[in-house]
Amino acid sequence: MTERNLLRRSVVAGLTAAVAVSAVGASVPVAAAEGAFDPMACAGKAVRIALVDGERDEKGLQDKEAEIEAATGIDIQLTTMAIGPLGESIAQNLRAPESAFDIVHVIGFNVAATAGAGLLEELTPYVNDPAKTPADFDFADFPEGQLNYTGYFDPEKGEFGGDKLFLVPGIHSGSVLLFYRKDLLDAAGIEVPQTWDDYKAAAEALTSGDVAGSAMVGANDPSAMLVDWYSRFVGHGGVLMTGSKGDKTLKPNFTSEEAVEALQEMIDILPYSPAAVTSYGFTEAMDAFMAGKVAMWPAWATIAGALFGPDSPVKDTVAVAPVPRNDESFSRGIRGGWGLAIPANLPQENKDCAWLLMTQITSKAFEKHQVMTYQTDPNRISTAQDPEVIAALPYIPAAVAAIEDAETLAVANIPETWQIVGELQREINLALTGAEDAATAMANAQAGAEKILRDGGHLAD
Amino acid sequence: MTAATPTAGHPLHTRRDVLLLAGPTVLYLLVFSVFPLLYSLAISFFDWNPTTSSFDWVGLGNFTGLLTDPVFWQAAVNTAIFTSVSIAIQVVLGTVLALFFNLRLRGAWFVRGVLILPMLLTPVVVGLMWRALLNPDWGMVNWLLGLFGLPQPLWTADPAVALATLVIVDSWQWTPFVMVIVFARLQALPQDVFEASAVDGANRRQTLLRITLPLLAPAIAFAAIFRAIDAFRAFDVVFGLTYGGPGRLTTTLSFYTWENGFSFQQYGYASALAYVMVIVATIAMSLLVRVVSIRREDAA
Amino acid sequence: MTGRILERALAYLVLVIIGIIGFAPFVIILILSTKARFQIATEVPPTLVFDLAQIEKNYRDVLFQRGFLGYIWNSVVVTALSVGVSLVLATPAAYAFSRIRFRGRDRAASTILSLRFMPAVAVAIPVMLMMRFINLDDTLPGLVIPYVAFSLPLVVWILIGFFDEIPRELDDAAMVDGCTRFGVLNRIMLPLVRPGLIVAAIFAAIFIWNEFLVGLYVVNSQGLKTIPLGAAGLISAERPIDWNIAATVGVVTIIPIFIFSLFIQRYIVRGITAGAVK
Repeated sequence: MTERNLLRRSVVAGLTAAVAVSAVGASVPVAAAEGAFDPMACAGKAVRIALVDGERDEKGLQDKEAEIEAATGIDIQLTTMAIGPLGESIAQNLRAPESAFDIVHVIGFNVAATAGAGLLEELTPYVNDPAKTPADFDFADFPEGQLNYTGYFDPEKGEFGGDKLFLVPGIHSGSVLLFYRKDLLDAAGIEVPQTWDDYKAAAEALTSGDVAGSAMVGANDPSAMLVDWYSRFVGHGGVLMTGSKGDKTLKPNFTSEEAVEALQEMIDILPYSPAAVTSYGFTEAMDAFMAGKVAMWPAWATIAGALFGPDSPVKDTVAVAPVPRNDESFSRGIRGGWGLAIPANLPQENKDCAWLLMTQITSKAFEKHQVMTYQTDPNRISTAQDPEVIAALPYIPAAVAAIEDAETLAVANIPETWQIVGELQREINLALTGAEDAATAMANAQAGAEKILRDGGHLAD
Repeated sequence: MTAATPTAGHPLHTRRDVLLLAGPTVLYLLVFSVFPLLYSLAISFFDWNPTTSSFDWVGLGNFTGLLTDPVFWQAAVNTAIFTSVSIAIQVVLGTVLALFFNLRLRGAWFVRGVLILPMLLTPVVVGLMWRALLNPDWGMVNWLLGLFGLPQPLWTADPAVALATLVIVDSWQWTPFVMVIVFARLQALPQDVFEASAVDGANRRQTLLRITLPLLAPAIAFAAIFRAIDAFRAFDVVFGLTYGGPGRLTTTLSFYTWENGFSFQQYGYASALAYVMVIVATIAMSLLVRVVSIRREDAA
Repeated sequence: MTGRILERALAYLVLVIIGIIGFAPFVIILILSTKARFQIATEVPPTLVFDLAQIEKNYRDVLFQRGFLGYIWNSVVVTALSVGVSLVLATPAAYAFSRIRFRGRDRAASTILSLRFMPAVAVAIPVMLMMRFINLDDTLPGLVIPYVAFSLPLVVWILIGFFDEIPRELDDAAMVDGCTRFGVLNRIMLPLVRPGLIVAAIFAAIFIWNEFLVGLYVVNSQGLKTIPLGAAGLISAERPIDWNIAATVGVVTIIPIFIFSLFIQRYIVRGITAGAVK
């Protein structure tokens, strides 16, 4: 081996090495440096997502499908189902040997039955891993209150909250707002009511001609209980249940002072409500407000888009405010919302890709598009602070603020939720039609709910 | 009257024929109708909630639960009232309409075509349609009543009116069914009977009561039985218009079954309810059929 | 004489009134389908001023964006297939029940009829599980199979009635000539019972067309939904109903049915006339 040969060999070796390194370097995606997020990590994989039908949640995804598929290489397979069959399908899939869906859409009321049963993948490791989550995901952007409903769950205690994440809030949240006609309030010289006493007085003062001071859902409809009664109930400081299902002491509090008072207030406000209010479902009440016949109405924020929309007869006169409450320490209304989750019975690869897609459809950019185009309620605080969003949809800040003061329905963690809501909604409706007085109605609801809880094994007696 | 004739072959042929002719149908029904029914019966002995995946044997627990469930009894009463009043109205009105159309007025075929529409409509559409028509604020029905100074009831919210509202909507949808069947039978009646009675000097009322109606009886009975089965199971009107309310005033057995199954996710209880419905309906049906065949024997 | 004319006039008046009452709901829905959402609650009664752009928007939304054109097609396909298979299965069976007196015949016939009693709610879940088991859930055959099962009792029952009306002598004569039962069925019975086939087909079609519960559980994909399933999407728990869209859906689903009904009237009458219903 001469010196020259050695030099020549080492140059050749060095060149070869350089070529080799650059060749390898070129075929590896630039962001593959260890610990960084790689959007193309699931290129070529299919992710099957099931969303609820009828809430417009799938629309944003349909719009952005091509864009997301281009950015991640994922083949998105979207299925939508009505809320009933969706729940059924999810329950089946979570218990099958392997789920047919990689991402499932879970309503708050079903979190306990899914996360609580250990059927969902724990997402805490995913969200904390910078290799799996985009740097700009900003998980802190989700309000704590919402995360303690469609987010964190404690399977051992069977309660919301804790430090195990099972869902990411999405695609829409749900809150209750007070919609009112600022022109009518100004003309009568009335301030936006802060307490429920103020509200009643305002309703009385605002009723004149064919305008009713207040509207509500008075029919045999879940919203009568979930919005009108519940807002007043928690606004009086009411606590829905005592005890816990864990030690079979879960008991309803429907005969408490606050419960009866809340119903009584609804009865007392009947003279200042539209004549047909006891047959108003959610739609009929909105029709009345839109026709200009109502001055104030606490309702789901989902109608804000329609009321503020370009076609709305009240678009220039409607405004939103937080729902009244009798004391600073009380809540204002019910917490609604859905979450996206990943079934536990999937291969790890599916879960990783499901998470990747989830980060894309719960991102700031995606939510902004969804909210601005379809007026669904946002989950992120930043959406509520975005000037563009506020300019187009002035009610958004109030909607997101309402999430903070909302109260999770205390029967949301048992499977008999809808049965108990049904007991209350029927009695509320009967009391409003004058068939019963408030005390009797709530006593009936109490008896009915107790029976349901006993049959369900949550109350031992 | 036996099927065997001198050259039709021995009974063995007949049995094979029956097997080949009716076999596929019976087999199909066994697999896709009877088996699900048995499965459903099996479910009714369990307490099955799919969302919590609880699946416990309760034996007759669901059935005894039904007997002590006040809502079940109320639903039974509601269903009985709804079914009997609906059938009565539909049979009478349908027959009257059929007789009316028998007058063969010009252009009547078009009106008949319009009247048939309701029974062809999607139940969801019917429900929404009537919810819109009966809307207390902007619905056309109350607006019209207002024009004539008549009272404008809260059709779905007033306890006194709610069940009647369902009867009205159901009758709007299904009276044409009775009308069609009776009308068709009217066209098929042999004319010689009428000619003979005309010769005998019978007036119109006599003809109607003594001849036409008895001859129509089988068709009317067919329509009545058919309507009985379906009105008993009626669900869509309740779901679309009143959701079982106010209170439990319009909760029918069918609605309560659905509510337990789909809303409360108590499949065992819902299956038990469904089975009770089937048993009651079968008993009622066989009684009805017996009454009808006795009548027909009288008429014949 | 004047009595007669007066009667006639009265009869026509009644006809017109019936026509108006029957037609009115549909006219109202037609008008509502031309309006924008806010006009429904604010225009009482709805004005007859029509905005072509709004009409186009509503109908485009329903037919294309919401896919009702597809739903109508699915309904047609599913109904036609289900009715077809039912007829093929039911005709020989009804013939057997009518003609051959075998042991347990009456029991079997009334059992088949009583299968109709079961509320769909109770069989929806088992049926759905069965379809899933054979991997046909969320497919059109997955819908056709249970629908055939639902309509068989009705079709068999109607056809038995029609077969009973055909004189047995025809059978006997043919069989004396050496025809088998099948031959009798094919060559002689089928042409005679054709009105019955049409009547049975029409009744079966009516009930399949509007079937909702089983379909709700078997079908999930948008592309496979039938009209009732598509229409169910109009109602949602958290959003108010878009009355104008609902009205448009009503019109879109009613028009093909209206044409169908004018058409089948003739056949039902002819059918029931030719072989009277029991």
